[in-house]
Amino acid sequence: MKTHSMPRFHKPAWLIVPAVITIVMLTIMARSLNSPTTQANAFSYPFRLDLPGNRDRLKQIQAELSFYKDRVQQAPTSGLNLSALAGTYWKMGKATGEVSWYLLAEKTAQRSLSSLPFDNAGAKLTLAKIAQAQHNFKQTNKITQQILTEQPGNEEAQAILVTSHLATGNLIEADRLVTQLVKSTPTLPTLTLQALVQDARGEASTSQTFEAAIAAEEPGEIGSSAFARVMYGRHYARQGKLQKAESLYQAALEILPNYPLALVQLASLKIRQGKYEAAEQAYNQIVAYSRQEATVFDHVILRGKARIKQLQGQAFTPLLQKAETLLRQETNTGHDATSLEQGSFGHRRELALLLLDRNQPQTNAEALKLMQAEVKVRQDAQTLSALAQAQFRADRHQAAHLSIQKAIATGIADPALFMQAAQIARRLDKPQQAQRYANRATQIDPSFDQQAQRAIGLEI
Amino acid sequence: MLTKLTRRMAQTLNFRRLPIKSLLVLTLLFAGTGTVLTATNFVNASDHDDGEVDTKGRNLNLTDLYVFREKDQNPQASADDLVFVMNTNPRSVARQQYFFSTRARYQFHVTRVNNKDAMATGRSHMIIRMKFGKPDKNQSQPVTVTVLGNGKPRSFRAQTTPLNQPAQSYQGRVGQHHIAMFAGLREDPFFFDVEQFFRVRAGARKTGPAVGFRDPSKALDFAKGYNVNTVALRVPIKLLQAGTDAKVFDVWQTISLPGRGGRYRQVERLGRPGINEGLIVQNNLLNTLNKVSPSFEAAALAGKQPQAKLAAPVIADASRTLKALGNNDQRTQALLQAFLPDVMRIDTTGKSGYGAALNALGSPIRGRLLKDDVIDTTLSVLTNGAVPSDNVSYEGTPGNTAQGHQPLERRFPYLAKPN
Repeated sequence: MKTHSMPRFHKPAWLIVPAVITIVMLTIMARSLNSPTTQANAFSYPFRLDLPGNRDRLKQIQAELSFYKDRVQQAPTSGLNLSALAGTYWKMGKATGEVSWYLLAEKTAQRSLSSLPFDNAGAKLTLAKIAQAQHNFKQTNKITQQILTEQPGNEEAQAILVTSHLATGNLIEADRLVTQLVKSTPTLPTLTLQALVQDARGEASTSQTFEAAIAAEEPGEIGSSAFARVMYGRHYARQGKLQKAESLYQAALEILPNYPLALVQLASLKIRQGKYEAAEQAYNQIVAYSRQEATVFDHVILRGKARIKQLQGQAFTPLLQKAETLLRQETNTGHDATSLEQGSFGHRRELALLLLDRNQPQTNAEALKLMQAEVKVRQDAQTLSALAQAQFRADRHQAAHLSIQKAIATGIADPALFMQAAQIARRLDKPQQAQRYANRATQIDPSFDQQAQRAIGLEI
Repeated sequence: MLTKLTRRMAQTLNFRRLPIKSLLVLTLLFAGTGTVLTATNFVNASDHDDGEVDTKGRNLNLTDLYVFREKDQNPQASADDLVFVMNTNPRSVARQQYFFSTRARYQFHVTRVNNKDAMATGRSHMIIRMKFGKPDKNQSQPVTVTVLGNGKPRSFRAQTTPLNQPAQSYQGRVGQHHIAMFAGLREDPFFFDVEQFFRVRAGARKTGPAVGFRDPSKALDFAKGYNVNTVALRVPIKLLQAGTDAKVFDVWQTISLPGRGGRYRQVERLGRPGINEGLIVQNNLLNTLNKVSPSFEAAALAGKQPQAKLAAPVIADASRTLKALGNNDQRTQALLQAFLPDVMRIDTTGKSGYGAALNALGSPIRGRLLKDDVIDTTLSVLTNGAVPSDNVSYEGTPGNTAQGHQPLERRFPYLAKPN
């Protein structure tokens, strides 16, 4: 007769099972605590999302357009009403990325100035922003200086100048101006601008300033709130703090669903994580949102999708070809265009990067020419990095080394730059220097692995 | 703040209206409209963003101050109360909800004055502070109203009135007195053909063709159709007197923001219409004035140091403006003494109205009613009668659809319903 005694190991199992369950639960809890969803709470918009204009932002801007169109209809030669209408067209352009709104903004601002050529800084500021969108920084500075001559201390003109200096790599002047702005008006937009300047200079106070910016937000200024979060997220993404970055992008998307800037950054992050389907979805969301209108994001989306295909080992050149066609249309008159009608947002750098993605002798040669022209217009870290890449491909390794060192000298804490510098140093047979650069890259972002490098095209 | 004035008009959504504090504006040799949308962006992926950037939020902009005896607006009202009105958030578009800042302190400052002819001291004997909370699901913000300067600070709670809701005013008890308070969107009562003013000024400066103001049938009231965020208070004169027998008060309003470390810094100040913005042309000097109290101007005008030295460029700027309007040295000096320090003086012994009475210094001393044509008054004073009117009025000209505001309400807070 068999006695059914419990196997010896069963006894411990009674103890093991709950222990295992506990461990699993704790693990799940710990993971959930670090998940973007949970972390998003830290960056969530502090005001109700169902306030008017939040969920139906485009509708709200449309209502504003109707308001100003009525006023213009009532007084067709009113320069101030036209200026207000131009500003609203600009706002719609910023909200959607659709090129047609920028064009309307430009035309209407010009009409405004022709009707009221004096005391009309509003129209001039719209034109300055159009010039900035075209990357025509010379024209931007000319207009803003004109405004500042007429109106010393105009905060809006100063803010545009800061942005211009930031884009052209004139960081000392950008810092001086933005410090003044924040001192006089510590608001979400000025603090965000200051954080961007600090980020470009690699200053340790960047996070603190972004936090201060978000703490300064106000109900109803959702565009600024979403923008600050995306920029803060990008700052974290560069450090490899991907969960925090994603939390911030998601928080921005909670405020402004379909926000193109947030979706573009989110897609980049997903590519880095190897989550290509999610990246694709983010890009598709922008396309769906744009109602098939041409947008300033189109070439970014196409290039991003091409990168996904490339990383998956699939044919990617058709997508790059599409993006190239778009960028060529926009770049023909680029940085010297005086009007959007000349067809340009001045994406010379973007075209060069795309040509480098194609990595053919002919495209590499053209990319180098483009970047040599571009660097005369701006010398920010990203431009210098693109120049270095073009020089590297052209076997001008010493020149690439100098360019990347200039980029690093801006102070920006970007592991991609340092890894690119390491690559150039290795080619120059400077193994120790290469190691130092690589160490700096992993110091900034310990998770800057091969996938991260491939995601930005470094190791492809 | 001419600049503000001009800005008041020239901007769009995000553009803020600069309080038109100014008639002096007229004078301006340079001025400008400011706007508000600045893109603070620099984006890896594409360089384009949706930065809806207004360096100074619209709700941090003061547009106008009104102070009047309530019975002069409403004969049925008590003779014992004054009404204070603070308008902010210029150029609020019709049918859209706007909010007060949840960070800022909105404040009325009051000085008790013994002699209506005395120069303003700019000392705050009393402050009435409004602090707004987050909007709720009904789009209403909680408001805490605090009275400071009468012994222990006393507060009461209220709510803002959302757009499309009947005006809701709240009563708060301060010691033995009651204050009524309304906050929310109202139609902007201001009126001015500012665009034609720019043309007139350009003609005077020889930078444009010489023109005059438009005929009343064609003049365009730029503020028509816009809303503002209003704070209106009904304040017992006895509360302001605080046990004294003062009958005259200087009033001004400020907005302050917390900086790093939480310390509040003043970012806006406004008293009489058009003074700062009219007299002070340069934005940087305007910003200087925005950060200090009227006591700074009082000390500077009295030759006290370091205020006099610090204020010298501001005073010089104002003097240049006045002289450009055709005023000689003596009259320029007199006008400076009349309009600075920038406070709204109200002598409660007489009927309210901006042009109702002047004191020995030439300063208006009867506050300001909602329909007062402050532009005409200021134009006339600053140009010594050469330019009497811009031909725009509150009610407008029959047949001219570009003018005319909605009728004022018959009860507190009196401003017309929002568009």
